[in-house]
Amino acid sequence: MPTPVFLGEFEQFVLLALLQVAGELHEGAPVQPLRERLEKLAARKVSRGALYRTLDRLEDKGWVAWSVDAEDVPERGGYPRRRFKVTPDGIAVLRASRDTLLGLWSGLKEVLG
Amino acid sequence: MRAGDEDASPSGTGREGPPQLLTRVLASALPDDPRGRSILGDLAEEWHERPAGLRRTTWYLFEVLGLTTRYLFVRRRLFGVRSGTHMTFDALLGDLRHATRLFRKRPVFTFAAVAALALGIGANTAIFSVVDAVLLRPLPFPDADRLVSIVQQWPQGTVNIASPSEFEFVRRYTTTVRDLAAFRPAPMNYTGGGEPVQIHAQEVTADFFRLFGLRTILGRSFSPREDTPGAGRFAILSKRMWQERLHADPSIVGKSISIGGDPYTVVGVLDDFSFEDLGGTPDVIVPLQIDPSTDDAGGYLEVAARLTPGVTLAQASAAVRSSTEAYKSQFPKALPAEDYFDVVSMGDGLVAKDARESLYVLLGAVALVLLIACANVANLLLAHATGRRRELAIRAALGGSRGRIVRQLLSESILLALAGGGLGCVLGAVGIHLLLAVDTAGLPRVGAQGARVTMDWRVLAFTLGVSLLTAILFGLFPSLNAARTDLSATFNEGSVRAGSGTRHSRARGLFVVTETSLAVVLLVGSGLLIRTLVALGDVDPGFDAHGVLVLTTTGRRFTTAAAEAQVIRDATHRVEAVPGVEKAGTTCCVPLD
Repeated sequence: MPTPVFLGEFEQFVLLALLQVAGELHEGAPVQPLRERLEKLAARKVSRGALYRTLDRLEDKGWVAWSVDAEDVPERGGYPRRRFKVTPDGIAVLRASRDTLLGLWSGLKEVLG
Repeated sequence: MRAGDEDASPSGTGREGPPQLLTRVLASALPDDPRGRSILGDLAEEWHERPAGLRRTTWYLFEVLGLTTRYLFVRRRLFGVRSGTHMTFDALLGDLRHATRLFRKRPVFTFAAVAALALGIGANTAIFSVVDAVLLRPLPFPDADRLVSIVQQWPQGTVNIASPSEFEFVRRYTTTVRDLAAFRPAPMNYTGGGEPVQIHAQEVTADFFRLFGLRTILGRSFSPREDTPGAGRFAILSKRMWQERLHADPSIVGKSISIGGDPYTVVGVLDDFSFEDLGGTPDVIVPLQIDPSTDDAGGYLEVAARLTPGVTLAQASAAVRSSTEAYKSQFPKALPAEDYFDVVSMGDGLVAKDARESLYVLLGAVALVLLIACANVANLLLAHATGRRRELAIRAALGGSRGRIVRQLLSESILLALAGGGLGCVLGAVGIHLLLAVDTAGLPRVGAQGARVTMDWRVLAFTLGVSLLTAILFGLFPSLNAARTDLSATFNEGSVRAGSGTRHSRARGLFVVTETSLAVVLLVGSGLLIRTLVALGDVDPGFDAHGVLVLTTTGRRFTTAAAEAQVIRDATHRVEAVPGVEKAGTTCCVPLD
């Protein structure tokens, strides 16, 4: 049996929101719309530092990748913009997490309604 | 904030970017790769999306502080935790959470510590916010650090006045300064809108506008010809005056308005500007028409200029000082032998030396108050640590290193200091405004009732810095002391008092001695201050001011002195006729005003 991979709640939120935003844009998602979507979905304030840190961690695990554009946008002061997307490994982890959760939820309809 | 502080763009795009200093602080904490640089870009992008103002700067400050702290902990591993990059910040958060729970369990201790710190930090914030407004905030003019005032040095000190002859002399013979402008406030009555209304006017020479970077939205500024005697009556309106009293008439330039009953030709309307630092923003500016060959030695003008490019303040000062002798030989009776002209930076010229010194003395005094608060809280923490010796010993027995325990205790100090700093910031802001609303003590640049003393990013950064410094001051010694746990002695209850108890009491004794010494210094200082104030109050001014009321009025309608004298006599008789009035008199200047 393979070692199970655990996905934290916030990590899961970030991956799902990233899939949504990147899907709508048809390209990698910048940080700001990702943060706005997360705040909307999670109905709570998401600190910039926590989001960067989670994205770094997801990248370390190979579940998120990014590319760079916008070196010459004046509003960004000439600094690059990163666009994030979920890697195939990230999608596999999300599927595994969904299966685990569905297994845990199953048979509890009488209790939870 | 100076415009130069706000462009963080490495490519020099010229657009107004986030405060450069803060961006540099954050950049030093971020990794120097696309990951780090993209974070700077994200912040810059959001900066441009937000409305300009203090709220945007405060937002940026807090974002930078949060990210800097987070990335410093991640990269530098400040507190020596080696169990993984991301564990470091988690461990700090864990320490802070533990500290919060601990403080909730001991509300009395927490209240006492936070209250002591809030008072100390609040007093410092309050005084620093005044120092910031009076001494540190740059003047709201372009290239303000090159602006200078021409002053007179008397044996008693520096006075920020000059005479017309002195102005003309310096203008003619000095090359170390340029754009020399003389000005003086001139209360006038606007008589073009029915009832006369007193307005704030300023008489200025032609270079005034270039010196202070004032722009017109209609018409032009004064030409050199218009500030010569007999050139006529001209006026430039402030935007507010133009909008409120002249209904923003777009064809006002060239028209005549009535001031003091005389017709003045409007030559321009100024864009928004602030002259609050120099005595108040005028509604109307009229030419100060000085005769170039005047020998008028009366000191009633303010004269300012800009240093010529490449000339330092010291060089300009030396040149103007040395010109005094030539002036004295041309105008032998104008200046006493020991007086001379000088040049000071405009910021220095606005604040009298004794006011500047008083502010620094006050800042020193409140720093002593903060030191006393620190000693107090350190004592409280020592007492607190005595009760926690068993808990700390258990942590040490379970493998907690000394560094780890010191970090935990320091986190508690930082949390206390930040709570004290936050509360102190509020107390300081409220306290100083209440105090200045009662009396601004004649301080320049603070505005009416201290309205211009505000909590800008400099004050917030000062308070944060003071809070963190305070945390180290009062927290480090008790932390190191408590972490030096003797396990066997602590678990053996009989020997608890004998070992570290003595050490604790010695340390607490030291803090008490420090507190008492500082308190004595403060007490003696404040006693002397009160004695000075009492002595000042006892000085006999030579007149009895009890029950005396002052009525100020202006008038410029008279063509002959006799007509003016008649009006003054009539007004005086009518005031005397008011029931309850014993005597009435007239003067140009109220004594000691």
